Amino acid sequence: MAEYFGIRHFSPACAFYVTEFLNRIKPECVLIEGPSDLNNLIEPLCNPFAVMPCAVLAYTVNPPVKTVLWPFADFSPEYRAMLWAIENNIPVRFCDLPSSCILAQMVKEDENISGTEEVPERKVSVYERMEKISGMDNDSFWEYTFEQCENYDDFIKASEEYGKSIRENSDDSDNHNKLREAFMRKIISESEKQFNTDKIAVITGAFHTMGIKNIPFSKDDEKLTKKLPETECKSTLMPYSYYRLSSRSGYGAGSKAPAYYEILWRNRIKNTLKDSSAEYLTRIAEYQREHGFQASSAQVIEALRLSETLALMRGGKTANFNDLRDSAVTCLGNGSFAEISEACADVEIGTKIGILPDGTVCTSVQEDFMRQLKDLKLERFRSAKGEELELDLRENIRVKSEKSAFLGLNRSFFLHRLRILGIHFAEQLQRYQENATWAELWRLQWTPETEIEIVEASLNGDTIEQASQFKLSTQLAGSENLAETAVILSEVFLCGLSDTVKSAVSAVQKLAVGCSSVKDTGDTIGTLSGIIRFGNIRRIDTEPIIPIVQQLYLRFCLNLDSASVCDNSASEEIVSAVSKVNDACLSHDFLETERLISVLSDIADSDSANPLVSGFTCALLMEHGKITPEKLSELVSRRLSGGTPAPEGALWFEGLAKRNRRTLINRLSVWEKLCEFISELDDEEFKPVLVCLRRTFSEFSPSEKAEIAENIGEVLGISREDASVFINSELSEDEKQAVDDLDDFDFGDI
Amino acid sequence: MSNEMLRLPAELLYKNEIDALIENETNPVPDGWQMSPKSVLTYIMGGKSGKVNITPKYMGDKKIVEICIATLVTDRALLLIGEPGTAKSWLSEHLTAAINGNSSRVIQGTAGTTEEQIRYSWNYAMLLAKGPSFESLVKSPVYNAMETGTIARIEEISRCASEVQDALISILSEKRISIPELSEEVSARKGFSVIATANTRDKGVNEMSSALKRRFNIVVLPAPSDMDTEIDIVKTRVAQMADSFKLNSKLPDISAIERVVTIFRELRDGQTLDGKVKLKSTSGVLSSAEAISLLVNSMALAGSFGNGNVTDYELASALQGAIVKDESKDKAVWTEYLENVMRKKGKEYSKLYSECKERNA
Repeated sequence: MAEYFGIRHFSPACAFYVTEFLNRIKPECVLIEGPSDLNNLIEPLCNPFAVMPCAVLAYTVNPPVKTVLWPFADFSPEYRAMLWAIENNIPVRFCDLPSSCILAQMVKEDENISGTEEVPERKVSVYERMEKISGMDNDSFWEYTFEQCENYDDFIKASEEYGKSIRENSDDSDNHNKLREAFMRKIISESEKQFNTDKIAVITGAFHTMGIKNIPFSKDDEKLTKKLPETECKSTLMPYSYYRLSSRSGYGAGSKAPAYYEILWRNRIKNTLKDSSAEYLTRIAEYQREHGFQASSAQVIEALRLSETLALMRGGKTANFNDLRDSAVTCLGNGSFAEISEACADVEIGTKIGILPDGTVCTSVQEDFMRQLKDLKLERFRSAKGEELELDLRENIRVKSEKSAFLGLNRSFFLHRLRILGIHFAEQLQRYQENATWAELWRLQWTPETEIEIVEASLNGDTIEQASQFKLSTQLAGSENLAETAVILSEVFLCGLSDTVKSAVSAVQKLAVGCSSVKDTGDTIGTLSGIIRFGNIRRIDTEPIIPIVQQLYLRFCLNLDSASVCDNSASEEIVSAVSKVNDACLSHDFLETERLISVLSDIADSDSANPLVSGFTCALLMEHGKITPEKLSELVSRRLSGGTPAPEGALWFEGLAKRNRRTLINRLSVWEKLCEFISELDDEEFKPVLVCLRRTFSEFSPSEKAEIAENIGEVLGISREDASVFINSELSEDEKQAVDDLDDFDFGDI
Repeated sequence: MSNEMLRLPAELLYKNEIDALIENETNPVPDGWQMSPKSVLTYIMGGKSGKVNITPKYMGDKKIVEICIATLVTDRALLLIGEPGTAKSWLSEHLTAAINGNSSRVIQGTAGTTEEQIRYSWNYAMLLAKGPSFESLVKSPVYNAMETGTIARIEEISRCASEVQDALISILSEKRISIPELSEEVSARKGFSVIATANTRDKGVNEMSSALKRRFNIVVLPAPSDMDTEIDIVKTRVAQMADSFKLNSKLPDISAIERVVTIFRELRDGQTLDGKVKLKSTSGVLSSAEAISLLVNSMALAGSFGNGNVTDYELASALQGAIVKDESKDKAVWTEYLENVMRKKGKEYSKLYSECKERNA
């Protein structure tokens, strides 16, 4: 008769005793809960060069891509059983439903959504009932009872009892589980025939063990398992990470703290299980010390004592994960989890990533990448020779199918997603053509590194889209700066991830409330306005962003006045922010221009505002036509008059010359004032003004400069010809000397 | 007599529960304790002992209470930290009531607390008459607790001056007080410990030295984690207080409590309950305790000047007083909240909104 071993996934104790179980019963065949059509992956998984965590991954070939995962860690009982079988040269098989069937069910569930909701609900209720009976949460109960057990016979008895009670306390097994168990019975009976033995070891989850133990394969089972749904799918091994293991897993019962369980596992095989608590706490303290926090051995000792008392109070013998975490927070974190949260992430979850030998990996992301290359007709770029690709994002109305109408756009989404994932297949080149927001220029090149980068991307998700979504969501969660978050939001638009738009928008809204920096607000308005202006070409709804822009715009206008009183180093930032907001204001009707204009007028007229900002606002007002020529000449004469310190006047002029030079050049009165201003300066005053003016005019084009020179000539009453004669004449000795002296001019004082 | 007292200590108020727990004790009792740690937990979190129902004293995370009790078992001192109104003193009083049957060994930390109040001082008449002797010694609550092997409480430890706080260091690490005047040393009996409480939000507090902090196990008491727990806490306490104050008013109905708790939670967390809108927070602390006193206050208003029913009129007056503490800043926050959030909350809030708006104008 077959022998059964009920396990809990990712349990070090189970992993340890399953080996002993196999050693004792010496089966001639080992069956393990896992996809029965993927037996071929067992051997590469047990390759001595493979480092766990790794996962078996199956995915549908046709979009929408569905994936299913079976991750394994060093301390997975299933993995240990496989290793044992391979070492002892005994046939080992998976005995659960084939992956094609599971994926087919997932596709079907997707089609009628109502079916998906029932399954998880029922699962919860079993464990909730168990929690009521044991009076503690399920993980604690398991750890106190099983992980801390150090006797094989006790363990086997207890886990059998455990399996029974889960079974008793759950509702009637749902259809899915009935099918799975019927299928397992089928495989058991088939294996008995195939290997001509009844010494079979069956290793499944404790819940299922009770459903298949000593129940023969019946006619009903045969009927049930005869025709399984199927879909075309592929499978691969892939390296996994502890981080991913902690957040999600194919079982729906991953491992909350893989690195912590690894500590338990390593200590168990060393026969020093009791040291695990001390190791956990010491490693937290070590991490804290390395990162500049104070953590003494005395604190670790106190934490250890506290954890043991807690365990006793909570009904255990030795401290479990919760006891240890609570005492670490109390003794090492001064009572607040935030203080040791990073240490906890490191010691509990860890950063370990699995390794698989070459040739065994073909992840769904790779597959997805290739399929999209084909779909988007990019295959020919998959060569070592770099080529440029120009994209037109607009709808191509000359073609019939939607797919080809938006080919350019879809290509752009795809390439942007690759960029986000750090896959260096495509590099975006700058385009200098004006108003070409509908066009993008890329350079595509395939290198061996690209292949590796794609495999790495599979740690973030199962398809290119999913992975880029995950990556941007992680960035969003980590970003605390408004302008930065807005940039992420625009990335979301570039990548066409409409599902992430909502969370990105709400992240921006949250940060917008607390942001009072004019620079950040302005930059954000600029970024968001860009999204709204060009978002529709990417066919994503930009409506939700509008209220945020309005809110920020209001705040910007309210804060600008006080922010304009600043020093010269900050003034450049303010000018660029004002310029962005002004652009946004011009291009959106939903922003009240009047509000900005009134603030700008105040600043233009204010003597306390920074001269550069003030000059710049004046230029903007000219552009809007909101300043009368009289007012302008009043301002120019006031700013460039003797009462104003000379450097300030020059800065003001620099600000004024930053926009619409054409209007400026044509205003003779302005140049008149400038000439007057300069000629009244003495030598010492002239030096800093010169630097400023030079900087101002360096941005003008040669023809503009010539025009200005002409204007000034007119003011000074010098004709073109006279000027030319004068400039082309030889320099006198004195003049030469003066020019040479300029070489020693010390800019450091200015 | 006890009925005339404004406030009974916990061990008298819940005498029958404590007696029942002691009577039905089945687990080992640590030295100096009157019941086992598990019974203490039952006393605090509620449950049943024999035939007696134990009322829950602390509504919140059981884990936190477990850590507190476990700390006291290991002879470490316990420091409860939290925002005002998170039941720090309440918990410390009940812990000592359950463990020792005596919650009265208290030192109230203030700016005027001296080192003598923590260690010992002298009865000067006796000192002059008889010279230094044990008879002329005036023992502090901490001294008393050391002698009897019980737990002393220090309230608001961070309000004491640093040198006064540091007087505790040697007591906590060596568990003895030396009396140089008598060339004597008094060692603590088993069971001695200290529960201190400290505020995170109050201004003008003295930062605790890290030397002292190291001698405590620190437990941070959070604000109630979910809406239902908080409504429960507020409801229970309002009923208890209304009972003892004899306010001529009916208890506020559940919708009033719900609305007050909602407003408090939203302003405290800086976002609406659904997490969609972020808000500015007020300068004052909007704790559950504050919500309780607000409701009791509005009951007093209704009982004394109204018709005995708590209406939106009374609620709005009480809300205005509780929320707008710093006139210039809080008023803006409250206005913003009223306009951006409460106005959009629908019919249930519309009356309250207009009453509040009128008062905040």
